[in-house]
Amino acid sequence: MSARARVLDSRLIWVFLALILAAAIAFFLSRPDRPGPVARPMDEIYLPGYPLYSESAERMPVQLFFPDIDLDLKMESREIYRSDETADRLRQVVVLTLGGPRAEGLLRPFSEGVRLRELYLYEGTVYVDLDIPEKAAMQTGTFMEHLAVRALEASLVQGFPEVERLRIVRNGQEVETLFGHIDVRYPRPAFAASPAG
Amino acid sequence: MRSLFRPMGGFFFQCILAAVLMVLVGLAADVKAVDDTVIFLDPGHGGEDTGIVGGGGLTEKSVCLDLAKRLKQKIDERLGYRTYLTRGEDKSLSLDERAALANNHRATLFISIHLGAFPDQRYRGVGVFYPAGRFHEAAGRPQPLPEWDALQATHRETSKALAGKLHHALLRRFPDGGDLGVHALPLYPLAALNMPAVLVEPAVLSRAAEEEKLGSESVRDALAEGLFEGVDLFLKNGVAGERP
Ligand SMILES: [Zn+2]
Repeated sequence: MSARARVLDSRLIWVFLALILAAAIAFFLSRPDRPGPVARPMDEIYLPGYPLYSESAERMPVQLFFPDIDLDLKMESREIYRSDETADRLRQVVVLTLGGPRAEGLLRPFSEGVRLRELYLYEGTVYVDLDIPEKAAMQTGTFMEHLAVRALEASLVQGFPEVERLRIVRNGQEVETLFGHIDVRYPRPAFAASPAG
Repeated sequence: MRSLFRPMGGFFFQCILAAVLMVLVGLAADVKAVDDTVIFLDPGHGGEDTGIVGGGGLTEKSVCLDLAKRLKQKIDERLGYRTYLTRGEDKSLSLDERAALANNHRATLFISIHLGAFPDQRYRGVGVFYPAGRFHEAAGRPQPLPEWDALQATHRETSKALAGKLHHALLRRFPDGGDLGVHALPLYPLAALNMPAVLVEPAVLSRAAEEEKLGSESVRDALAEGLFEGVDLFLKNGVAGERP
């Protein structure tokens, strides 16, 4: 056997081994009972200084609401951690709503930079204190301000029977409006919203 | 002869006097109608509160002030009604102070001028808003308004009519400008007003193309003209002056 034929032989062996390996991987991946991918932590649910959940906690579905391109509220299904305290679940809902939708065709209701400062639940009213930078007011007109308040109301009230209404405060203070137009003085019940189409 | 003509002369004199008086009374009634109408124009924001700032740096507070001044001039010159601005310069004024000014002048109607902003460039054109009713009508369940706000609710139908006229007139002037509709919203700037009141956003400042147009004096004048036509239409329909 010539030296050239020996090299060709050893290459064929490597190709054969590679094919066996590929087949083994394909078989492993196609097994129906293979373990699923390890659940990645939901980085988007983060509130500085607040342990809202333990990453080993179970997750639960929630319905968030965002304006669609026709400026109607639409529902988006998302997940939060099943925290022991309802208030912690609500905090996660606020953080996700402020962060905006995942689906295309839905709009982010609050400008970037609006953050949750504090939230508490008292006799059916959820009080949400938002950190609203001046810049956010420079980007929000009357109708978007209305939709932002409605989106937060719907996300918090629908799906949480213990929540009946929402009262929003700004930067730790009671305010008449968030951005100068829409009345937020009184706790308001949720608005009807349409499911995602 | 003298005695014959004296009563006749007296009669003619009385007729002429009566005619003159009738004309004067008629004129006085007209003047009174004009005098009774007090229009309040409210340029949104002001001072440290810039309102919306467009990508090119144009501010809502400055455009609204300019539109309000142009509209006042048109009303002064062509309709003669008493017209006031809540602010005639770039200064801070709380929403409550604005409402108190209009209430104390027993204004016939109140127009708060703002501009729109959306997180997407597709939205354009005119949106007009009037106060939601005695109950937040958009809400799933009714919720009573506090007493003072309930006063504004008594003007709701007239406010809705004013909103409709402004919307109609602006769309007629800018048929391709985009229509964001007429909506009843829980508007704080109008909550404490004892008169028909609307908040109008004749353009969207966050839309780059509209910001560029708003930089032009002729476009701002055309917008003010559209607003003027809306006010004129509304007042001609005889719905002004409603009080509880
Ligand atoms: Zn404004």
